[in-house]
Amino acid sequence: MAAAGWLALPAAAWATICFLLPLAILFATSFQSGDGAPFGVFARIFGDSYYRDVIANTVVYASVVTFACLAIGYPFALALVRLPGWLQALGMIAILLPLTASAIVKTFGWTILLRTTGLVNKLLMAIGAIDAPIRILFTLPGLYLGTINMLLPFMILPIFAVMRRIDPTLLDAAATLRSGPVDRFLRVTLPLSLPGAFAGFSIVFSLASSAYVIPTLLIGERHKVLSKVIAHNFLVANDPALGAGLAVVLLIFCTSMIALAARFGRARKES
Amino acid sequence: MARVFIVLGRFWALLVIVFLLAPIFVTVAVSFSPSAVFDFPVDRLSTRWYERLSRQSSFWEALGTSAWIASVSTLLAVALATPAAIAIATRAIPGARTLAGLLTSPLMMPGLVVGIAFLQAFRAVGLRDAQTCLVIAHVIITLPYIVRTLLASLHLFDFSLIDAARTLGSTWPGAVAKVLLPALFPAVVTGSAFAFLASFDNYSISLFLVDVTARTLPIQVLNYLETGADPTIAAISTILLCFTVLALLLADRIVGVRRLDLG
Amino acid sequence: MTQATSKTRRSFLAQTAAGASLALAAPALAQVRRKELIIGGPAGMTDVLKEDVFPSFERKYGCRVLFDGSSSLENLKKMQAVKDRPQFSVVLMDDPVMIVAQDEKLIEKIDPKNIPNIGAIVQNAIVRDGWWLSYKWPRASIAYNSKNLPGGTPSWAMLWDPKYKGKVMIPSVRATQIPFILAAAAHLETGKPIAEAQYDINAAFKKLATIRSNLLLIYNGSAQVANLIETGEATLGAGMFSSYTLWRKRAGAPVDLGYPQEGSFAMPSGIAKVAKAPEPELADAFISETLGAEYQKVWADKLYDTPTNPSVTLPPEVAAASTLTVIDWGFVAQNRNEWMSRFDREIAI
Repeated sequence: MAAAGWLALPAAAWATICFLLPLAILFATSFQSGDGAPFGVFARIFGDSYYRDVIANTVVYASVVTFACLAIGYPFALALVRLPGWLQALGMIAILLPLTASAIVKTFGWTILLRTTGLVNKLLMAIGAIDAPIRILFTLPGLYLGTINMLLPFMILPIFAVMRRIDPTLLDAAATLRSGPVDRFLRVTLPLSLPGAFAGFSIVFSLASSAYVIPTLLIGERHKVLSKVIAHNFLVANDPALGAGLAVVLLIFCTSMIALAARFGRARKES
Repeated sequence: MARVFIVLGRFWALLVIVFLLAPIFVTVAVSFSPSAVFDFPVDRLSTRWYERLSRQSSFWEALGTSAWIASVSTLLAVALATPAAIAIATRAIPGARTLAGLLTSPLMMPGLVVGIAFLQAFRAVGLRDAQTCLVIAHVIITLPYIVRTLLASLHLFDFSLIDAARTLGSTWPGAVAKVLLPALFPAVVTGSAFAFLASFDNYSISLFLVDVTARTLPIQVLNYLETGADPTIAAISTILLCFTVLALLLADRIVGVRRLDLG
Repeated sequence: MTQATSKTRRSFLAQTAAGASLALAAPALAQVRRKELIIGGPAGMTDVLKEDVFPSFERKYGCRVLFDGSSSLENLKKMQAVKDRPQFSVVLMDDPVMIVAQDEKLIEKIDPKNIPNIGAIVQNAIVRDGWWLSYKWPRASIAYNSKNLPGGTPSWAMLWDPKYKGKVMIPSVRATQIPFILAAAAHLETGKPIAEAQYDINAAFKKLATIRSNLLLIYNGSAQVANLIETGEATLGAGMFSSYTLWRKRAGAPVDLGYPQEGSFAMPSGIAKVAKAPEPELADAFISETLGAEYQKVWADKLYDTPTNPSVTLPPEVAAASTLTVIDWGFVAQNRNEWMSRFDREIAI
C-alpha cells in the first residue's frame, strides 16, 4: 500500500507553494520589520495583560461556541438519521440553506431578532423568563447565539455524514443481544461516530477562533478577539511584527486544541 | 423507553431546525418589504427590491464570477484532496498527520492575514489576474473542508476490503476505484457542498484579490452596503436560497437525496 | 498585465493552469491595451461615479474609466503590492491613508500646471503643498432617527445625555471619523473652541470614558449604524456623514444628519495621482475635472457633500451647514497609534 504515497503529492505541493510559502514570507518579512528577534514580539504579547486578555477572550469564545455546537449538533444529527424521509429532507434543507446566505445578511437578520422589540425578547417574556425586554444585541449572549447559529451546520454535516454510514445491522445485532437503547448508543453509535464529531469539532473550532466578520458585526469593538487585533496590526497600526506574532499564537493554540481533540477521539475509539 | 428517546429526538430536531432557519426566514420576509429600511415585520408585500436588483448588473456579474470561482476551485480541491486523504488515511506516507495539519490549517488563520499573504506573494511573482489569483486562493481555503470530511469517512472504511478485492485479482488502483471510491462518494459530495459554499461566502481573502475585472458576490454585497443598507441584499440572498432549494430538488429527482446521502 | 475585461472561459482555464504551475516563471502574456483609466476609491462612490461622472468624462477624453471600489485601507494594500507597476492611475482616499501613501511614495505630487482647475478650489483643499487635493468635504456630525427625535441633534453633548442610555453609537478608533468625536469631547470637557480642542487629547479621553454607559455599539461600518437608527433600536450615530446618511433619507428612511451648534466636521476626501501612474495625462485630466464646476455640482446635488469649489450653488441640505471644521490630519497621523492603543484599553472595553 506504500505505493499510494505519491497520491498526496499534488495537494502537498499546492498547499506548500500556494499557502505555506506566502504565509512564511509574510511572517518572515513581518518579523524582520519589528525591533529585534521574533522572541521580542512574544515577550511583548505575553508581558502585556491586554494581549493576554485578547488571547483568553479568543480561547473562551472558540471553546464555548465549539462545545455548544457539539452539544446541539450531535443529538440533532442523531435524531436526523432516524427521522422519516420528508422530515429528514427538511432537516437537510435547514442545514444547507443557511450556508447559502452570506454572514453579512444573516447578521442583519439576527440584529432584528435580538433587538429590544425583537422576537427573542418577546419569546423570553412569553415564557416568563424575563419581565421586561433585556438588551441582547451587541452583548456576549447575542454574540454566542449568532455565532453558534452560523457555525452549527459545519458541526452537523460531518457528524451526520458519518452516522448515516453506520451499518444498521450492527445496531440490530446489538439489539438482539438485548442491550437497551442507551447501551446500544454507547457501544455502537458513539464510538463509530467519533470521527465525524472530530471533523466537525476541528472545522468549527478553526472557524470560530479565526472568525473576523461575525464578531465584528455581532458585538463590535468592545469584545476583542485575536483575529481582530491581528488585522488591526497588519492593516491599521502598521505593526506587522506584532500581527505576525499574534497570528503564530493563534495558529499554535488552534492546532494544539485540535490535536488534543484528536487524541481524545483516538483514546475513546481504542477503549 | 426507546419511544421516549425518539419523541425527545424529534422535538430537539424541530427546535434546531427553527433555530437554524430563523435568520433566513427574516431575510426572505424583508426581501418582500415595501420599505427602504431593512426591517421586520413586513406589513405589505412588494417586489420593489427584486425590480431594483434586476437593474443592478453588478450583482449579476458578481454572482456569475462567484459561481465560476466556487465551481472551479471546488473541482480542483476535490481532485487534490481525494488522493491526498486516501494517502493520509492509509498512512502511505511519512508524516501523514503533519500533512493533514498542513492541508487543514488555512481554516485556522484569520482570512485577512491569508489575504494579505496571497496578495504580496502573487504580486511578487507577477501574477495579477484577479480570477487566477482568486481560484488559487479559494482552492487553499476549500481544501480543509474536503480533507476533513473525507478523513472522517475514511475512518469508517474497512481497508481489508481492498485487500480482498486484490486477492480476487484486481490491481491496487482497480480495487480503489471499485471498492473505495464508491464508499467515499457521499463524503466527497458533502465536502464539495461545504467547499463550494465556503468559497461562495468568502469575504476576507477575496477582499484583497478582487479588482475591476473580477468581483465576487460577498464583496459586491459589502460594496452595495456602502451605498445604503436597503432590502436589496435580502432580495439577492433570497434568490440564492431559491437556487439552493432548486439544486436540492434536482439532486433528489436525479439520484434521490436519500440515496445520494447529501449528509 | 492589465487584463482586458472580456475573457473566455477557455483562456481562463489556460491561465489557471499557468497559475497552477505557479506562474513562477511569470509568463509574459501578450496583451492588448486599450486606453483605460483605472481609479481606486471608496465603494460608496461607485454608483454616482458610474452614472454621473464617468460617461461624460469618457466621451470628452475618448477613453474608458474603470473603478475599483473598496475601503481606503484595502486600496492602500493593493497599491503597496504593485508599487513598481501600479494598476491605478488615480486614487480617492481619506487623508489618514493618503499620509501613509505619501510616506511610502505611492502617490506623486500634483503638478499645478497640469491641473487647470486647481485655481478654482479653496486654498485649504490643497493638502501638504499639493500632494493631494480635497475634491469634496462630506459633512460629518450625528445621525439620528427623525421619527423619535424630531428636534434633531442641537449639541454634541446629547451623546452623553443619560436619556440615551444604550442608544448611542460611536465609530471605532480605526475609522476615519474618530478625531471628530475626540475633538467634540475635548471641546465639551474644556470649553475651548473645537479647532483648538482637537489637540487636547487627555481631555478628550477623559470625557469619552464617561460615554461608555450610553454606548450600544462601537461601529466599523455605516450600514449597520444606519440600519440600527432607521429601525429605532439606536437613536444617535456619531461620526456619520452626509453622503451616506442623506442618501438614506432620500431613499425614504427615517434618518437625518444633525447640525450641532458646536459645528460639523469635514471628512477628508482626497484625490491623488498614483506614482508611475499608467496614462498620466488622463490621470491629470480626471483630477482637474473633479474640481471643475460640473462634477463639483454632482458632489453637492447627488452626494450632499460640500464642494471645495465655491462657485457651485448648493442644495439646501448642504447650504444649511455652517463652516466645517477641518481636522489637523498631520497631528492625527503622528498620534494615531497611541490613541488606538489608549482607546482599545480605556474606551472599547
